[in-house]
Amino acid sequence: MSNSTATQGASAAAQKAHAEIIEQCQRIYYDVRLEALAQWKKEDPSRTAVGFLPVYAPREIFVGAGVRPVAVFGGGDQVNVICGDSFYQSYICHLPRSVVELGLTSWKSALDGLVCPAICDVIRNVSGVWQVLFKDKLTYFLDLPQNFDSAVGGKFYRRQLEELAERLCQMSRTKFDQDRFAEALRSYNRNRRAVRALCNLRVDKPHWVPAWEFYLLMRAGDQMDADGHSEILLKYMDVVSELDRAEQDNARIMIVGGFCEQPPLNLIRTIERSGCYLVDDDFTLGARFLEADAAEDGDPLQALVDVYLRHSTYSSVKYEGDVPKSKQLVETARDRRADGVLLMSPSFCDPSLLDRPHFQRALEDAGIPYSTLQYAENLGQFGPIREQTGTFAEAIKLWGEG
Amino acid sequence: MADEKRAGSAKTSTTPLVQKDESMEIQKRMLAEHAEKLWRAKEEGKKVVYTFVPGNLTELILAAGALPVYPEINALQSGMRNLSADYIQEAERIGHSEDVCTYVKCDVGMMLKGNVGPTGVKLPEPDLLLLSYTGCFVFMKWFENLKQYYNCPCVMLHVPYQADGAITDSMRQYVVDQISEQVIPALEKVTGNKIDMGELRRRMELSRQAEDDLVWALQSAKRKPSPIDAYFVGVYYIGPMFSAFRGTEDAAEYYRALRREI
Repeated sequence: MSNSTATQGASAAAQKAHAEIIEQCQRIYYDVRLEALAQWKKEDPSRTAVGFLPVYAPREIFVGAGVRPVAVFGGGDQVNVICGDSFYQSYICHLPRSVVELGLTSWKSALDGLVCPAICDVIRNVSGVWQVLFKDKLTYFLDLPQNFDSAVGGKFYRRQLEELAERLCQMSRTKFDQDRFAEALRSYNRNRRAVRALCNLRVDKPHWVPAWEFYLLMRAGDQMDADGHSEILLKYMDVVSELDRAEQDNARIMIVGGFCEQPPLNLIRTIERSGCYLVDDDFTLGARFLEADAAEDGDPLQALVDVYLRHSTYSSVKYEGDVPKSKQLVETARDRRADGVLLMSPSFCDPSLLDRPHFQRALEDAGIPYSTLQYAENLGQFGPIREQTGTFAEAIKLWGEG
Repeated sequence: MADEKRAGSAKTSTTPLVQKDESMEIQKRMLAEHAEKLWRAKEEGKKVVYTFVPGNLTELILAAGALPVYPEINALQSGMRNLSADYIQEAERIGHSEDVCTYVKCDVGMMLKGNVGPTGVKLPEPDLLLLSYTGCFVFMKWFENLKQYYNCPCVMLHVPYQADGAITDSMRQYVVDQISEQVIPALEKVTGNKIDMGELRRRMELSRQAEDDLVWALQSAKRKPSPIDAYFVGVYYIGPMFSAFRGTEDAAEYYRALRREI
């Protein structure tokens, strides 16, 4: 399946390497029950791992505290939610349901705790549910500041990070290792650079980087260490340059709104197969949340604070301050040379859905075609979406300026 | 059928006299006066600040010489007066999802339809949006939307969440820093008035008196039989304290009257 887009002319070695990378990423992606992680911990019971929910958490702090950071996104379409539903009303999104379901079933032996970043009321309240359900595990609500003044929000955020480090160390029974922390900062800088390079590659050559492969590559970073993940990304970029993939007459589409609850992989494939090249998206946004490197000289903790305040990406989970997000959306669409934008929100997602009206207005004013759709992580019917996005792509091709 | 008849005859024969307590009359007068002030605000050069109910900083707004408006209360009252459906539909027409909070949609729809408040008075546009982000993420999105519609400045007070049920020094300092470094300067800039700390202190003392009496009133429900019906009248009791009247003589007087009645 992973080789289906590779041409016959590509070298067998490149095809094999590509298949191996995708297979490795798929293994990680489909391991929503974190079985590999549980096995890793079983091999050495002193090992600790803590999950963090979307969108962004500073993984460098985890590493400094001797804890393996694991990005968790719930169960997607792979988990049958039974217990999780009883914790949430019908008008709440799907992600917390599968998070609770997995917490009560599969994650017990894999995770020693959960960090819930402040991105919406639902994720905030997952931290409360977790506290009640798992008293023997760490629960930390990471109150990311909505104030981006270094003397105000910066001061508060620094204290939040210090407290997170203290709590992680308390849990892992280790002392915070400043050298390991500084090294992690450098590793994640390298990783962010590799991610940015891959993003740029798909803007320039979207036919080289199919959306579903890009997505799997990003999800592989959920459980991997930064350097291991960077290595995969760099290798992938080398390999796809040899695959000689043919360009199709697809519309260049940017997707916005899926930064927390993730679409099923088949939904991404469906959109792509309906005639869209994805030149940008905000799925798995955490790995791309910081758009610049953290300073490697000086105090690493302050570097993490500063880079968050000054260089975190615009997103529905952040207060926009003086620069409207809608303006940044239009600028990004133009920068990525997107023919159109798909405003794609999980059902009941307040941050994403409440940005939609002014995103729509800004796109209309800028003359950028858009379409809207809603999904849930366990969506199973893709036909109507294929028709919608296919029609959208065709309309762009037939009547768009491009 | 018989029931309908009875209901019909009850309606026509004896219209029950509505008996209002002194506190109710006071509150009615306060609301009418506030609506009147808002109606005349632009004419009189008064600045208007839209803000949220939880954790509101009304004492500060009043000390700056501005008038507060609470979109949540407008949405609530629109709902009570059966006005919301059209407003919500209007908001959904411009892209608001069926899945999100109807308070937001009611307010946005009301604005799109001319911003005539639930009492029939056209509301003045805001000179400042004071986003008291105190625990409901929707607040933030709500004012991000309003900021674009009204094209006016917005200042935020982000109140940290007490995940462990305790207020830390860092949280307190964060709030203090935001109020002193950003909220007060924004209010002063918009109103052109320097906030007098003595006046602010006086207003906070009035709030304290009012709060003491409100707490006394609510605590009275512990008695058997309870002298109050907290479920139905509680919403009236909290009205002045949670809205435009914190830090006013009127609110202090209202709660004194309420306490006397109980």
